[in-house]
Parts: sequence; C-alpha cells; structure tokens
Amino acid sequence: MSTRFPIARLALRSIASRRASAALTCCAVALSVLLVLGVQEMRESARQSFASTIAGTDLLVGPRTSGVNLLLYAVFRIGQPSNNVSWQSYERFAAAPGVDWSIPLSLGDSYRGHAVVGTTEAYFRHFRYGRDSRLEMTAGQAFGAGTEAVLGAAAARELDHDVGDEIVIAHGLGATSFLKHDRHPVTVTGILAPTGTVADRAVYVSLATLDRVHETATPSFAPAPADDGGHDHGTAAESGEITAFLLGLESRVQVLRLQRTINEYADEPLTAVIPAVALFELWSVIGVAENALLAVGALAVLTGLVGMLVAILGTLNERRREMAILRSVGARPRQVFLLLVSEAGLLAGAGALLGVALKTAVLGALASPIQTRTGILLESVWPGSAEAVVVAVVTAAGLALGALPAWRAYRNSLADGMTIRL
Amino acid sequence: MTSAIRLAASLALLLAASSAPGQDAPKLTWEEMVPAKTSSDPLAVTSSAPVLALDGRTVQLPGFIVPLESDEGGLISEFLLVPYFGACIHVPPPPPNQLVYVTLEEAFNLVSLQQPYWIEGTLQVEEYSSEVADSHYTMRAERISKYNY
Amino acid sequence: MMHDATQNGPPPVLAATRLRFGWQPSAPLLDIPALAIAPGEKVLVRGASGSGKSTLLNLFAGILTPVTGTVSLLGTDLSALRGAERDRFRAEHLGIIFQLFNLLPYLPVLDNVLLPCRFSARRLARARASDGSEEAAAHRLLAELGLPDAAPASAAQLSIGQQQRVAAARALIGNPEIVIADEPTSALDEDSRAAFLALLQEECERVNATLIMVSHERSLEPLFDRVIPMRELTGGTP
Repeated sequence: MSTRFPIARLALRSIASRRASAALTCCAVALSVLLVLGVQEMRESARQSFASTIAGTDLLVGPRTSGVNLLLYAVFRIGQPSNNVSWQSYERFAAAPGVDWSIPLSLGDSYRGHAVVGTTEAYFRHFRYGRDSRLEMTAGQAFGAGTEAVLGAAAARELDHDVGDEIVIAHGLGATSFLKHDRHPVTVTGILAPTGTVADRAVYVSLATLDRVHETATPSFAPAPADDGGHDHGTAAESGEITAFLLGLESRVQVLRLQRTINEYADEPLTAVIPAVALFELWSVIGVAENALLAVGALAVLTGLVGMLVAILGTLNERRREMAILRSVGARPRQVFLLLVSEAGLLAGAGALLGVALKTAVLGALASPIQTRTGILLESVWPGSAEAVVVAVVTAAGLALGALPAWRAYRNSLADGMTIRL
Repeated sequence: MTSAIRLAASLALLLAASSAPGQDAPKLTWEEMVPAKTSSDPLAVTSSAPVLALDGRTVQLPGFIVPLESDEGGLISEFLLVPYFGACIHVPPPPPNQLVYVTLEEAFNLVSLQQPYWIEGTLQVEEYSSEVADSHYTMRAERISKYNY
Repeated sequence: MMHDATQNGPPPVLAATRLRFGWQPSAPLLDIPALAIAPGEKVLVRGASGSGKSTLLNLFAGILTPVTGTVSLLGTDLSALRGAERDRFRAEHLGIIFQLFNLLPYLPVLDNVLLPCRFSARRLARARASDGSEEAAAHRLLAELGLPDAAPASAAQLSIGQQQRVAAARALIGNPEIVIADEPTSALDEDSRAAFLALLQEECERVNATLIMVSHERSLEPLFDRVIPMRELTGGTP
C-alpha cells in the first residue's frame, strides 16, 4: 500500500480476507442481475420477432373468431383453427375491386413437428415481414406444379434437409402422427433465408400438393374412417376450404370499407382484421405479463443487495475494534465511513459485472437452440447500454445500502474512541 | 432612438413567432373536411369527396388511431385517423372525406386504441377516379400529442 | 500557552490546565487543575479499573474534548482544532497502544506496522529519513522488539505478547513525539510484562519519545520515572 488511497486498498484487503462470504454475496447479486438482464433480452427479442412476423398486409381474413385469435393461429401458428373459410369466399374477395393481391393459407398438417403451410406462389411474391422485407431464397426456388415443398430456414437446419430431399407429410398437427401420407413423398425445391420469425419453422407446399397428398389418406392396415379422423385438412379441392387468407389492397384507405364488407358478408361468417390492430391488441395483453416479469427481476436484484447488507451488518460489531484501531492511527471518521461504503459498492459492482458476464455466456450458449425452437433471434447477446445501466444502478444501490452500516460505524467510531471493552 | 429599438425588438419577436414550426397550427374540425351542401334540399346526400381547398394546409386534427403498420419495436408508423372510436367494428366506416391516411417520420408509441390524439401536419388531397379508390386526405404527421379531455 | 510553573527547562509535551470532563455535567469524572509532562518522561497513571483512565487517554489523544479547560500537546491547544485537524495531529504526533486486539486481522504484520505512515505524511517522511524507506523502518523496529521474522505473518499467527510488540512497533514508527498506552500489559503474563515494558521504554528513549501509560497494576510502579495516581486527577478526596 502507498499513501495514496489508503481506504480503497484497505477495502480490497478487507474483502480479500473474507473471500468466501464475499464471493457468496457477489454470486447472489450476480444471479439476480442475470435474471433481470436475461428476461429483458428475451422479452425484447420475442417482441421484435413477433412484431416482425407480418408486414405490408392490409387484411387477414378467416372464419368468425376474435382478431387476436385469428392472428395467433393463422400467422404465429399458436393455437388451433376450429373452423375454415370456404374457397368460394376466398375467390370472391380475392377478386374484389381494390384488391391488389391475395395469399390463401391452409394449415393443419405437420412434418416432424413443423407446421406445413399450404399456399400459392403468391406467398413468395407478396409476403412481407420486418420492415417491409421480401422473402428470399438461399437455395433453390419456390415450388411449382409438382409435389414440391419449400422449407423455412430453421426447419431446414433442424431437420437437416437440403434441396432435392424427399419428405413425407403427416396428418394432423402433432410431432408424430400415425396416419402418414406415404404414397406421395414431397420433394424440397427451395430453402428460405432466415427471417428471425416463426415463418422460419414452417414447410410450405402448394395447395395442389396438399390435395394430392390427401387423395389417399387411409393407410392399408387401418379401416377407412367415416370422416377423416376429425382433423382439419382444409385443402381447396377435397373439402373446398382453407384456414385463412391475406389481402393487399391498391389503396390502404379502402381497408375499413372492405373490412366491413367482409365482416357483414351474408354467405359465410367471416372475420377480417387489420394485422397491425390485432398485433397491438396482442401487445396490450402481453404487456401486462412483461411488466410483471420486469418487476420480478427488479425485486430479485433488490433481494440480492439486501442479502449483502445483512452480511455487512452482521460483521459490524466485530469490526468496531478495527475502526478504533484505524482512528487511533489517524483515520478520520469520514474515512471509516468510506471504508465500509466502498466495500459494499465493490461487492455490488463486482456482482453486477459477474451477472453481465453470466448473461453473455448463458444467452450466447442458448441463442442457437432458441432460434431453432422458436424462430426468435436474440439480437444483442453482447453487453450494451442496458447492461451498463444495470451495472451502474446496482453499484449505486450497493453504495446506498452500504451507507447504512457505514453510518453506524461512523457514529460508533466517534463514540468508542479507545474505550471498547471486549 | 429607444422607440426604434422597441420597434426592432417587436418585429424580431413577430418573425420568431411566425417561423416557429407548427407552434399554433390552426385546429381543424371534421365537419370542415366535408364540402358544404350545394343544394338546400334536406334530402340531398352529403358529398364524400374531400374539400380541395384544404390541400397543402398545415393543421391540427384530433381523432382516433387505427394502426396500419408497426415496426419491430411495436411502434406505429402508418395509421388511419378517424373521428370516432370503433370505426373497425361497431359502426359503418367513415366516408373517405372523414378519415386521413397518416404516415410518420418516426414511429410512435400508441398508448391505447381508445386514446384520441392531436395530429399535426400538412394535409394533402390525393385524387383518384377509379372504381376501386376514392379521393382522400393524406398527411405526413410532424407532431402527435395525446388529446386531453 | 501556559508553562507549568513547577518545571524549568524545555516546554512540556503535554499540559492540561483546569481540565474538567464528565459524561453528565453534574458529575465530573476528571478534574485536573494543572498537569505537565516533560519531553522524554516515562509516566505511569495508575488507578483502579473504572476510575476513568481510558477517558483520560481519550482526552489526551484528542478523541474526546474537555467540558472546560484545555489540553495542549506540543504547545497546541487540542480543543482549538477542528475534528479533522485533531485527527491529523493525532496521526502525526501520537502513537497509541491498546490493551488487546491492536492489529487489523486482514493485513500482514508489516502493513499493520506501516499504518500510521499511510495516514500521516509527516510520519512517512520521518520514517524514510531515519531508515531510507518506511519498510526498512518497520523491519528495524520489529527486529529491535524481538520479532525479526514476523513481517509477513498475519496477526492470527502471533501470540498476545508478540501482538503487543507489533503494536509497539506501530506506535513508534515515524518517530512520534508521544506514545500513549492503555493497559498494554494487562493481557500478558507476569514474566512477559517486565520484558515488554523494558523494550518499550528502550525504544522510546531511542527516539526521545514521551511515554504515557495507564494501568491498574501497582507492581509496575518501580519501572517508571513518574507515577501519577488517578485520584489526583479526579478531583475527589484523596
């Protein structure tokens, strides 16, 4: 030690001599910081991923249901459609005056845990995501007239498929289904570039392919079912139904009028929803949960810090002699105060930095599996301004909490002088 | 001498006030956006065409927001401004001259669909004459603020 | 500043004049009309436990201020100084030895001895002047006190007698003018007591420091130049 900053070095020595309990305190703070930062990161990435899933679409139309529900099952593929839209209604509105393009969607099948989306090549031409970004292929091309499929980026990676592979589509929406459409294997013709959304997880086929594949639905050893097992097929030719469709208009201003027309359509109960409005409503619901999560995280940090405070207060009595010794060699009461406050600040700061390191490590390791499983892209695994703010706040909180025992020590050192009887 | 200084000062103030962007853009009402009836016949239908004279006017207009496009952060970048809440659902949609198609430089954070806002910007009239699109108002909004009842 | 009229020669290192102190105004604990201690004296203040010895030391060290009267160290009136100045004065001119637990447990012996040099530039300078560096001064003092190899050890590894000697080294580093000791031998066994005191006094003489010690033990009286019974300082009936 030199004469400069004797207190800082005393603080470091003091912590070093209580290594074990200091390390535990740091870990407690670090874990709670990890919780806050990790939740924050997941929250924002999930929000971004969801919000980017669809763009540039004026109306989403499906059977009569709530707008949020339709958005969830038709676009996010969360939940099950319970009803369908007739092909006639689709054709009627796809051809309505003012409609620029339309994309039909047929859901209900799966391939090894990935949703199969029946659609037309209009999907690849008109579908937009993020900030009005177009879909792009990293390999191959869109499906054509044959029994062909296009894979989303995450689907291709997880299933380890490439252009030219053959896949077999299963009945129903489960990971395994025992009614497989074996007789018509589907050839992969293209793989999409990653979008960072749930679209990456799907397998896209033409409506005609779905029809073909459903032509012989009954495997040889099972009795022919009276209905098709209660699954929603939703293919155009067989049952003349699709799940939902997307519309793009020539003039966005027409959207309210067309929406009303569709909602009041007498021939079939339909719901038309503006995706941006449904998304906004979805956020209002999720937003409450998000805020609750954030509050929990903040409380966790506070708990870690209070644990540190308790540890320091516990040692305070033992340290009265130490304070008296320091006073006797000429330390001022203010320096005694600073000693304890800086110890608390150091522990809190070190714990926060450790928490940031943990978060980087944990999210770095989990980023790829998360993207594969959910399509969510973790944007900022490396420390950024959010982390800097959390470290600063936690350190400041540690200093503030440390002021309590430090104040007591300050008062004690004035009163004790040299008269402590131990 | 002092009166000259005073004159100069008040001129300067006047210039400053008038060049302040949108400080006091005139407030527009939705009624003004409908052309006045040309005939005195009470059964005559109100026109759904926009008032051409409003083209290029910088105004403040209050209304409810129907989002059309949001960015990755969930902020709204394009919307329709309508005079009443529930234009999507409960009641017939407003005629073309009772809504404004608004775009924003900077996407903003919409608080709630039921919260009305003051939108300030320069109105444009876009003319169409096809069966699929009507002439309507558009605006590039410069300022948005919450409407306080 | 008043010199004690009974002394001739150099000015006293410590002078108390009409000094009164008590925790309650109605019951003064200490009442000293006049006290002067000359430079280089070895003084024992002897009194029973609880008689106010430690309070007296606190007053001498400037940790407590008198209710009335003055305490002057080296000609400086302590109560005229502000708190921070008194702390600095103490760091620069005083070495203090407690009865027990003198050492910071998380510093090695060497750093414990060096503590006064961290808080007083003057002590640091004087240590460097006398031995070239403060570490050298510390090593020399430890050797003279019989602990030549103790520097890297931690306080926990030393016996009480050894700890007290380290405390003495710390009190002496940088040549303070006054060494104050609060019952430093009470925790030592009989054989060690005399030895410790001999060492302490020898060191004080080497640098011409004044030693003021309080204790309850009569057996120590012969070892000191001057013995002041506590009752002379409490204003009570002798």
